[in-house]
Amino acid sequence: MKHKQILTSAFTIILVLSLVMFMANQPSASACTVFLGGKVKFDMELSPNVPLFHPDVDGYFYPGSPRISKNLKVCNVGTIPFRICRLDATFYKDKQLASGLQIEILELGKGRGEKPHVLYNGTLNALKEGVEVNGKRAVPPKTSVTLQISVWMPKTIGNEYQGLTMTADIAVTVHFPPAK
Amino acid sequence: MDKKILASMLIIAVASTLLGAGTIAYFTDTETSKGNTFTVATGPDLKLSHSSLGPWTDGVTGTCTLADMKPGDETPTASVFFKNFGSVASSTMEITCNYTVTEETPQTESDTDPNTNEHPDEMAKYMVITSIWYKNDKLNINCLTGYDSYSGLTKEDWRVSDTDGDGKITLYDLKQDPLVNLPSPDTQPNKITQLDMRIKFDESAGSDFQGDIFDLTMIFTLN
Repeated sequence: MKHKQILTSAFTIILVLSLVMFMANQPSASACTVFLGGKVKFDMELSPNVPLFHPDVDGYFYPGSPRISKNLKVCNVGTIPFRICRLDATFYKDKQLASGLQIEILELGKGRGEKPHVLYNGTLNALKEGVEVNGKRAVPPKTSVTLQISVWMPKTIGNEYQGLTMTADIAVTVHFPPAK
Repeated sequence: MDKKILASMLIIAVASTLLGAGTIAYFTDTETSKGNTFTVATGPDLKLSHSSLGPWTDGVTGTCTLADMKPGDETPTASVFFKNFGSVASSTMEITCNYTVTEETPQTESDTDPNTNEHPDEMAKYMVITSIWYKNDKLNINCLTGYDSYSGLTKEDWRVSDTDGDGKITLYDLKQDPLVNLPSPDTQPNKITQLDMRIKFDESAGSDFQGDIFDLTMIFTLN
C-alpha cells in the first residue's frame, strides 16, 4: 500500500513536469505572457511601441546615404530573467528593397566602458528567414537592454531600387532560462 | 499486479520526460516593432532649359547652331540652364561632349576628305572653344582656366586641358578631358546653374571639312 502511494505520487509529479516542459517547448508565435504558477511571469515588451523608421523623419535612402540609427528597448516586465535569442523580419510592399538595404543590430553595453555587442550585421533580406543570435547579457526582471538598429544603403547599389518603398516588421525573441 | 502496472507507467513517464528534455529548449517570448518604412530616393533627375525660367526638359536641342560655317566663323554665346528635379540632392556635375560628322550628299568636289564621318575627332580638333563659363549668382568659373572669380578658387578639374598639345582648347579636348566636380545646381542658392559657351571653326581648318555637318551633343551628369 505504501509503495503504491509513493509510485502514484512520483507518477503524478513526472506527468506534471512533462506537461510543463512540453508547454515550454512550444514556440511563441506572437506576443505572449507565460505564467508559471501564481507568481512567476515571463514577459517582454519593446519600447517605443511606434515605428522606428519613417521617411518623413529620416529622409530617403540613396546609394551611400548615411546610416540611420534608432534605439529599441527590450524590457523585462516579467519576474524571471531572459536573453535575446532570435531576430526576424517581415516585409510588405516593395519587398525586393530588403536586398538593397543593410542592417546592423547592436546590443548596447551598460555604461561608457562596455562595448556594444553585434547581434546581426548583414542584408535586411536575410532576416526574413530569421537568425539565431546570442544576446550578450541576461536581462533581469524590471530592467531592459537597448538595441541600436542601423539601416543604410551601400554605395554599390544601382538604379533598380530607385523610388521603392518597403515596410518591415522587426521581431525580437527572448528565451528563458537565459543561459547561452 | 497493481505494483507492476504502476511501475510500468512510472517507467513510461520517466522515459517520456527524458525524451522531452532532450528536445526542450526554452520558454520564448516574441515582440515586434511594426510599421518601419524605408523609402529610396528618386534621382538625381537633371533637367535642362534654354532659360532660367524653364520649361525644363530631359534634353534641349539647337542650342548652338552655325549654318554655312567657314574657317574663322564663331557661334554666338549659347546658354544651357540646369536644375535637379530628383528627390535627392546632388553634389557635383560633370560636363563632356560627343560628336558625329555627316558627309554631305552629293559630295562636294572640293571636299578633300570624303570620309570625315569615320574619324570625327579630326574635325573636332578644329572646333575651338573660345569661351566656356559655368556660373550662377555665386559662381563664375572660367572653364578654360579653372578659375572661379567669385570664390577665388582655381581647380584643375574645372579646366579643359589641351590634351593633344596643339595650343588650342577644342571640343576634342573636352571629350578627352571632361569637366568634373563642378558644383551642382543643388549647391547654389536658387538651385540653378548655367553653362555659356562659344565655339569657333578654326581658321586653319582645311578643305577636308567642306560641306560636312558637325553634330555636337553636350553631356551633363549630376552625381
